[in-house]
Amino acid sequence: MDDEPIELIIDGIQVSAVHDATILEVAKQYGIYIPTLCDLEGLTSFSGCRLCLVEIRGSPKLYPACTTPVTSGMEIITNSEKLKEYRKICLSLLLSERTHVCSVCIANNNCELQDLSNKLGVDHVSFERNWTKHTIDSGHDFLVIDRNRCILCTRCIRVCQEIEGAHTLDLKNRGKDSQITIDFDALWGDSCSCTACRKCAKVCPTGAIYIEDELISKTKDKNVVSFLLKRRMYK
Amino acid sequence: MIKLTFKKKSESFLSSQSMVYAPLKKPKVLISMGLKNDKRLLKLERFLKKMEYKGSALLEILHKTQEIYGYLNEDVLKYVSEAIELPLSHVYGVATFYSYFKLKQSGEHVITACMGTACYVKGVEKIISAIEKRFCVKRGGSTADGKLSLFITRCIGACAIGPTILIDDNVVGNATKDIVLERIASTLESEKIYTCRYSKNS
Repeated sequence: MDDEPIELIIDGIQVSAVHDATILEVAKQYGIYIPTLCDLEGLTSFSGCRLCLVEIRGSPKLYPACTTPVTSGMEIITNSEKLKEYRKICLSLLLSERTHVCSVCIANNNCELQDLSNKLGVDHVSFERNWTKHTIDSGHDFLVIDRNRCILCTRCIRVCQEIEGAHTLDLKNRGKDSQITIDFDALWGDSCSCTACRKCAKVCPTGAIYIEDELISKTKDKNVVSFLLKRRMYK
Repeated sequence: MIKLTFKKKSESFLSSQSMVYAPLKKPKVLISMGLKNDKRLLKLERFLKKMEYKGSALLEILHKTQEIYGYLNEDVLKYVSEAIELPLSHVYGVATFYSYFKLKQSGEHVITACMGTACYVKGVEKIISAIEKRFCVKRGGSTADGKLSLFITRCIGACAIGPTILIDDNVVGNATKDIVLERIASTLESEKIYTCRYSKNS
């Protein structure tokens, strides 16, 4: 039974999907656009950014597309007015959470947060901004982390854990105080487990982790994960 | 954050039948980074052995560590992460996530004020600021002489008798400013009561 394809409807299009696929995967397959920020192909889904929220007919709740598996007979709406509004709020909250000033950011014009804001029409933030003043750690030879630009998508944590296997990075504290920690709250230069593989800088959607003296357009490489996974002989 | 793995029935059955214990993993680094090889470490080591150096027992181990040391020492946490083979960042992340764990050494007497919704509504804020003013202590910190610490917690589960203040391990329910200040003063004057059994004996 499990091998039978699942039939469902996304935005009025009849699609079929394999068992265990998530809504986001199926939508991508059929060229239906769902905005995402924390999701990255090849890494486990985190559903932290809440931008891929979709409506499922018959349910009052909204579901994150990246972690919700498809079931047969689902009727999914990915682009209603309600969803547009919700996504705008999510983005505004992300922008107001820390210090995001595009004009002085190293990732200007190469930022996924900026791109999405432009795409979804977030031209201003109606919430009061936090203007955080976290310290910038540039103690490493070339890697720099600026926690003020971090949106806690945890891509760097997941890539460090799942692809590189070093697990140098993790989340510390909780709620609004959440931050990326390096080892035992160490400076990056003192880290004993970091292999300096640069993957965290490559997958960072904003300018939170970057490489010193290197153009951010050169650093960023979202496909690094799927590239590395394809190269692995024994999966 | 932590995945707990439970033993399957068949496994526990097998081990109890044959009475053969699996060889315990020895931690690679035993004593390092200025860790004193004292009673406390011995006790922790025994507990780690009991937990079979499993990473899934991290929360229990952290609880025990705090019970033994009174707070979570950086060196001890490093030792724990080495022993149970979990990344340092993960152990630190878990230790900072839960408000129960303390990474700073607390004073001789610990006052914990409940800032849960019920207690907050009932005016615990006034009591806290009164304590701060009277004993010159800031929330989350200790007095200069290390006698008193003031911590904030989220709900101790006694909302009916709110506002609640914990003085060492005694709950003061329906607390008012005067009662709390008086109780704290009398606690400070009385004989030393160690909240942590091993805090001074080492």
